[in-house]
Amino acid sequence: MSALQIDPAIDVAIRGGLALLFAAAALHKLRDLTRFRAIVVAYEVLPSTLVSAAAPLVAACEAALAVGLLFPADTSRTVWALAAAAMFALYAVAIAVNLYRGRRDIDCGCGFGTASEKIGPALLVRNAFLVTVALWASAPRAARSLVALDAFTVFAALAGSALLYAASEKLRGLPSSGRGETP
Amino acid sequence: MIEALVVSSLVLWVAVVALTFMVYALVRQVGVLHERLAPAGALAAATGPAVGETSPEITVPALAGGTVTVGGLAAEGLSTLLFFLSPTCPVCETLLPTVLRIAGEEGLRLVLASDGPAAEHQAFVTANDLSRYPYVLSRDLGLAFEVAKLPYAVLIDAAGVVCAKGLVNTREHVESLFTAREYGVASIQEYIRKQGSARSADRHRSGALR
Repeated sequence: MSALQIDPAIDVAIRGGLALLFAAAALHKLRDLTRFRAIVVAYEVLPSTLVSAAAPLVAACEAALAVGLLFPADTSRTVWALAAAAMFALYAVAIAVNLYRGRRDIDCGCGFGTASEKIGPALLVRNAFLVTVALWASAPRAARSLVALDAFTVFAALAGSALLYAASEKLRGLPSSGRGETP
Repeated sequence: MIEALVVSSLVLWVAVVALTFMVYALVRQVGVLHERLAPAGALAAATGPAVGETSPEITVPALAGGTVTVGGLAAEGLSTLLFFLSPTCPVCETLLPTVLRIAGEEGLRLVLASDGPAAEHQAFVTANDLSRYPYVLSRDLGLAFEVAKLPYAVLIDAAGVVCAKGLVNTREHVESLFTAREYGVASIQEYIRKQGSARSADRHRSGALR
């Protein structure tokens, strides 16, 4: 197992997880495209002429990424993983720009619920983590044949990380003692 | 097969570390909740004779005959717990055994006060076996203490000074009246305010030392 190679089981687990994330995000955006368009407008990172086209385009990109990550052709594995990393980086840049402008009160559009969440540094940490994971999946696969145990590992890792992700998203929405809105 | 086990073990370790972070974050949230939850206490109304003031001295006829005096110097040297209730208020009836028990434990003179037609109250006294306690029907008493909501309790000491009062809905609320008397505060709300200002004063002091 070389350091620059990724174990096939971990590769499958990461791709599955990211695909799940993109699929859920795309579905959530397509279900209420008007609301997502309003969020894109609120970010104020695109010229107004591009905004109306950007919203469906972002959702379509996410859907494509979900499919591409899950069923890559042997030659395009790296490309899909890098594209996923770029997508997360793009969101991070949009959030960072607004944080730099001092606009924290905009809806991040990052959760899957209907409640609006504000942007903050925690979101940048989350996206940095997602970029790292996606970059990891872009490494070449180590040559190892998968056995039955790997199926279990992949399934458990997927279920566990999905729940952990959901839990950390919920935690991020809760007020923390440091910067809560207590008087 | 060995490699698959190694990978599976690595994945497990990642999960363990992630879960540790999650537990830490949750513990912090417990701390936040703990800071925000105030202890339960009787809700003190800002109306009527204030805590620390002398209670008005009122003599009213008792339901069982004779008169009952509330306020002023107590002949027996006992504190008085004035409990305003109504037979039609379910919370009052639920709370009544607790109030009777606490009054017994604390060695208080318990006065039950209400208002309305006597027949209804007579039935209530019989049903709840309250004939041992002075039970008064008086509009003036309720007006004097400006009782707006029931069940309401007022604690008056032997010298006729109002020690604590408030809307009481649970055993904790009733007991908070005695705690308020011990700590010399008007209500749990004032206690929390004092705690808060004491804490910020502490912070200032430690800041000055540094």
